[in-house]
Amino acid sequence: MRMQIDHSYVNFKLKVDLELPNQGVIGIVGESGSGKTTFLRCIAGLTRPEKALIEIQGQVWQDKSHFLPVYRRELGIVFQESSLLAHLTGLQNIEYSKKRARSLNSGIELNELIDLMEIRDCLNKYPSELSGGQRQRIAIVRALASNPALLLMDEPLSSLDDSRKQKLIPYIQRLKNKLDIPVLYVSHSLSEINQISDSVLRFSNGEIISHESFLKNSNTKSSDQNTNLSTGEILREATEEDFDSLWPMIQEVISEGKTYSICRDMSFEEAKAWWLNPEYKTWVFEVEKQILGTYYLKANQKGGGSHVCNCAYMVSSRSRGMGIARKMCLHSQQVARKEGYLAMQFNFVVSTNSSAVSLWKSLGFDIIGRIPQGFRHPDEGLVDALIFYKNLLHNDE
Amino acid sequence: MSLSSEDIQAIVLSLKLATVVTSLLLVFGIPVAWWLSQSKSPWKTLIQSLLALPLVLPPTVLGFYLLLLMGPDGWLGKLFQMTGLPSLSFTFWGLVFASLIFSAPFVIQPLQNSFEAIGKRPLELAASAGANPLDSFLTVVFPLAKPGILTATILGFIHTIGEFGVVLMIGGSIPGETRVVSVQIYEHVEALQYSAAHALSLSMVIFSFATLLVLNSLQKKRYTLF
Repeated sequence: MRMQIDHSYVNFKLKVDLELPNQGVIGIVGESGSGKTTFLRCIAGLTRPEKALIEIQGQVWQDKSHFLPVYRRELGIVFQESSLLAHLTGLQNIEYSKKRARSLNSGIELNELIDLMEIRDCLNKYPSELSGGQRQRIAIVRALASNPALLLMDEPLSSLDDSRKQKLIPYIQRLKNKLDIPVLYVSHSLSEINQISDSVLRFSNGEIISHESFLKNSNTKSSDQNTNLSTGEILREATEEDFDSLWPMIQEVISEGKTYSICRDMSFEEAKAWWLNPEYKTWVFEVEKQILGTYYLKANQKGGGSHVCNCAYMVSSRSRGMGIARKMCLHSQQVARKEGYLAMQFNFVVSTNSSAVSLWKSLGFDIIGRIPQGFRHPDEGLVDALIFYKNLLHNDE
Repeated sequence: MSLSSEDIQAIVLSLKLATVVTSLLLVFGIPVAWWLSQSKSPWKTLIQSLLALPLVLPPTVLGFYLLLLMGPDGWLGKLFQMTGLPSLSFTFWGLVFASLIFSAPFVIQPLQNSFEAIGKRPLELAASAGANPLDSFLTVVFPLAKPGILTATILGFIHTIGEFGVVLMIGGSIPGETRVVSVQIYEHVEALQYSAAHALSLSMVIFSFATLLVLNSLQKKRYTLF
């Protein structure tokens, strides 16, 4: 899909030039007023951009000389609220879309969608008789009923309270596995985006400032247990003397307070006692005598829970984005298996820690739980914390 | 105290006038009100003000100018003369013409308000589902605006029945042609036939009240947007 948009809006200019894949969920984040909703509306044609080139699945929706009206575009859209026609029942809303489907795509069969989103008993009710979560689920099915080439979702969960939001995310994840059309998903919640999307576009002041992919690392072959250390890279057990080099790294991470839920003003001695706890196995990642990363491995619980292990990783801020955490995690899994652990669990992963969330996911960890608003992020306020788990007897993906 | 045959004739005439006027106003008013509700054109304020004029003008002013317009020296009168059509003054169709102008705001404003109350979202939903503008109007706007259309119909009807000043000026109180109920009551009072005036007036009150009751009970059913 190709999108090039230039549009002047009240407070800013929207300027976008993108090529996006034809599959998967593309998350769109940014502060309020950064242009995310305007971007979506311009693609849909609900807002007519001053200048644009929009091409979706081979169809030109807008270019210098043409503007395809909204009702001719094969799209489905779910808004934050008011996504259903009030004078029609759930089923009638869905059929409204279906009747006017112009595309020949087969899409997902309607009955399957209805069962997937569990709205069968809502079908004969009017929107005013349904809860917010039910309405949004019907709205999603309605949007897909016309077999669109593109699904647009503008903060679909934002008007729901937290518990309802949590209930809906699994539905969207299930849906995602069945769709083969691209989805543009706008949200102001990084935590939602991390759980649902395959890549993230970050907006600021009308422009896209980053595009990160969460896609599984294609370099990691399944059943490949090798940590793929390159020459010069050493992973060895930590000694007491190493702590002097480790201290700056550890202090930086814990005082930033965005990823670890630990006392932010720990002293040198306290940190040493924690990280080099004799009951733990602690390792360092060293390149040319410089320690760039470190992790520890321990039993997550004592007694009956001691066959599950837990790890904590840190990478020096200068060396991030180089795959060090990935290597350490793979190494830790090897060590854990050798030590006889059956599974690995991360008890508290802050949901806004995108790199960790995507890394664990790509290494075969599942999110088995969520602590709602369990972490007070210094910038984002109360955000969820996630519990990750992996059965070590299964192969890596 | 009963109604004479002339009274009944007046009632029938009033009903006929109101029906014709209301129907015509709906047919022309719906597209106009729709345009007004969706338009961002600079003409919008001008047209809205023009359409609202009959609300503020004294009926006799309107009646006077219409009389001139339809008379032998007025441009409408001349047009009719040229095309061989009989003059509008003192005829039923003259009343229709005047009532169209006079009752227009009572039909167009409720229509416009109910179209505006729908907002943009349902139209966006319809368009994203593949409905072209006409389809969207018939399947989304119309059902959602039904209460407003009903209000417009009732208000237009009642207002036309109640009209007196304009009707008298250009109608001339001709029995069976332009002597509608409001004028008939006036005639009875002038002739000191109070019990006859009473009979007609009371029927008007009952009729209007019943209509308002119906209107108000229908107002309760309002579609909110979800």
